[in-house]
Amino acid sequence: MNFLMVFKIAGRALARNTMRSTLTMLGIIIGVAAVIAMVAVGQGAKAQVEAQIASIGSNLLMVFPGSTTQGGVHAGSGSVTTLTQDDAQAIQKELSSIRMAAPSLRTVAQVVSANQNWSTAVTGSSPEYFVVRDWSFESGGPFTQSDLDGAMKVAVLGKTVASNLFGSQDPVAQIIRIQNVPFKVIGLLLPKGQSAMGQDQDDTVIVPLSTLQKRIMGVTYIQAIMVSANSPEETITAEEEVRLLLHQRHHIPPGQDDDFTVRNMTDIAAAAEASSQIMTLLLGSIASVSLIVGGIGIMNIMLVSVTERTREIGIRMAVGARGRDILLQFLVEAVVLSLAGGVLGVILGVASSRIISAFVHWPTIISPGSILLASFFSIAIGVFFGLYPARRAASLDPIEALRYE
Amino acid sequence: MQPLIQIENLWKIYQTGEIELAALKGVSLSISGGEFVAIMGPSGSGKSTMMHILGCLDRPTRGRYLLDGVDVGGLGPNDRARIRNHKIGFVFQGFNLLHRTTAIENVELPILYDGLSGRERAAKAGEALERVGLGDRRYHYPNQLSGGQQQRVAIARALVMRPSLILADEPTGNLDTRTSVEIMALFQELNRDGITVLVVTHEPDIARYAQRIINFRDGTIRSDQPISHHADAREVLSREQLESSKETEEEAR
Ligand SMILES: Nc1ncnc2c1ncn2[C@@H]1O[C@H](COP(=O)(O)OP(=O)(O)O)[C@@H](O)[C@H]1O
Ligand SMILES: [Mg+2]
Repeated sequence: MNFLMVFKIAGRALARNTMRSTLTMLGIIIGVAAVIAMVAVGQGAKAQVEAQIASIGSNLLMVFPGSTTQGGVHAGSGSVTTLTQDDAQAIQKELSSIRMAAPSLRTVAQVVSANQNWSTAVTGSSPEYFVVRDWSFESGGPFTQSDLDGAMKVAVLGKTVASNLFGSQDPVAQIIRIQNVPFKVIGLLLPKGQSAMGQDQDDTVIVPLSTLQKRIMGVTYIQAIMVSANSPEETITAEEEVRLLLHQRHHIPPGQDDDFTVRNMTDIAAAAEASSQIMTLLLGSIASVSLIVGGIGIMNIMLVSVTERTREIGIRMAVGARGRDILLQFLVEAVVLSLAGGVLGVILGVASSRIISAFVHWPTIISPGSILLASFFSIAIGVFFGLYPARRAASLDPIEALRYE
Repeated sequence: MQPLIQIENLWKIYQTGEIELAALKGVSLSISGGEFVAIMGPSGSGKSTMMHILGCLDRPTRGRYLLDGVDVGGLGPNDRARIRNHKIGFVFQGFNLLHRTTAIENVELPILYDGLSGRERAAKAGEALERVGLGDRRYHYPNQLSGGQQQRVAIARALVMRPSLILADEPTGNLDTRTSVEIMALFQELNRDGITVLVVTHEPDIARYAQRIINFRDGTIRSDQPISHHADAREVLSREQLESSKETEEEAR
């Protein structure tokens, strides 16, 4: 029997029962759409995490004061005052695996312009900060080593702070007051967006470390050192070297806990990436369940259809249809159902991904792989769940089928 | 000459739960190519059971069935499907057309399972419909046709593969007298072209168009007689036509 003809017959049989065929397809449509949309959400989240990781800076290590607990959780950050700017300088100068190191001290402060005020995080650091964090300028530029040495009152603004204080106006050369101390704005950073933890990275003001220490906070310690290794491969060596150096500098006797903690941001990044990968898998597999449920729907309807059309099967057999002709007929019907459902599901899946992006503002990425996979699966489901009803139809006895009322 | 149909000591026993029922009790029969046979007998005497076995739709419990010299009992389901497709045309009392399927598509069905291309199929099916006088009803659905027309479509379907044997199980059972005679005329025509025809009926008026009458009773053959002067359905029809036109003439006067 001609294959095209088989499809034509199947299509016609399905068209006769439009309502039922549509409802049956709906199971597959929803299943396929769910797989595509969920994988798109997962992939979008993964891409976002990757972008955020890139925004932290490359090959980054963080050194915090205080020791770690057993589980590697950083204890009492900020409460210990053992790190100094000298530690940061020593790391940069003495270690070969390190490209750059920048100290960091943060406080939350009220920042005031001529007619606006804004509460934000003020970070004190060295000019290396902008290199370590891979952060470029929209206008103006960074402060210099002599600004740092002289504890000059200059500030670099993040995009969020700038727009809250100055609107769309360029803030460079304007004066702001941080806790009543006047600062001259010398740079505006390019926006970086949210961090992996969901903080607005652009809601920040960066000033020379010495200025923050002496003129605002009145302290001598720092809260963290950001260390950038030469290459991703060297982060492990760098971590070890930093640990050894600080060990010496802080005169920690053997057997005693370190008074600092080194964390490899690449590890954290890898963990974040892995968890978003798991999320994609999880979402995808939950959606696959609905695809299987759709397949069971097809099987159910095909079984009903075989029973209803027993007499038709008998007539076809009486005029010479073989078991395999009947098998093919019902199998193709099931596959046409699932394939049509699959195609519509792809369309719905792509559309709902777009809608999620547009209205919920979740990034979604539709991968051709998931479309291919979903289409392949919808055919496979048609074959798998259609086979049993089709075999049942094919194994009918001609005379029994003809007698069926 | 070798007979077209030869059955020897054919038994069919139905098993319904505990009860065994013998529908055929050792039937032997021989039918030559080109015969026109009527099979008669009361309801439940085993006529349909035998037709189904002859049509390769069912298998006997015991006994031998040779069709054209081939022992059908030894064939598998695919070979029997092929015999149904090529050698036999079956006509049922209830027409057994596919509903919501046009006349021509119903007639095309056997050709479809022979694997012929679309154009040849449509041509052959169209020819068969012409032959039964329904050339102008190709695209009608069964529910748009009268009973007699539906049975004609079924006959077209039975003859489209040019079988050597047509089996009709009470083909006129659901039809009025005049339509019944028309159907019998059609069978006689096919028979004249060399097709062997077996018709089951319980109406003696219908049986008289055959050349041989076999009587069934209780699963056995009671009698088997040739008819020397069988009726010609065409003649009967034209005579009736003449009479009815005379009647209208008289009424008009
Ligand atoms: N599928 C079946 N199961 C059980 N008994 C059957 C079946 N088909 C027919 N019979 C019985 O076999 C006998 C012959 O039936 P059938 O051949 O249909 O008779 P006929 O066609 O001469 O009226 C009847 O008694 C009928 O009840
Ligand atoms: Mg009967």
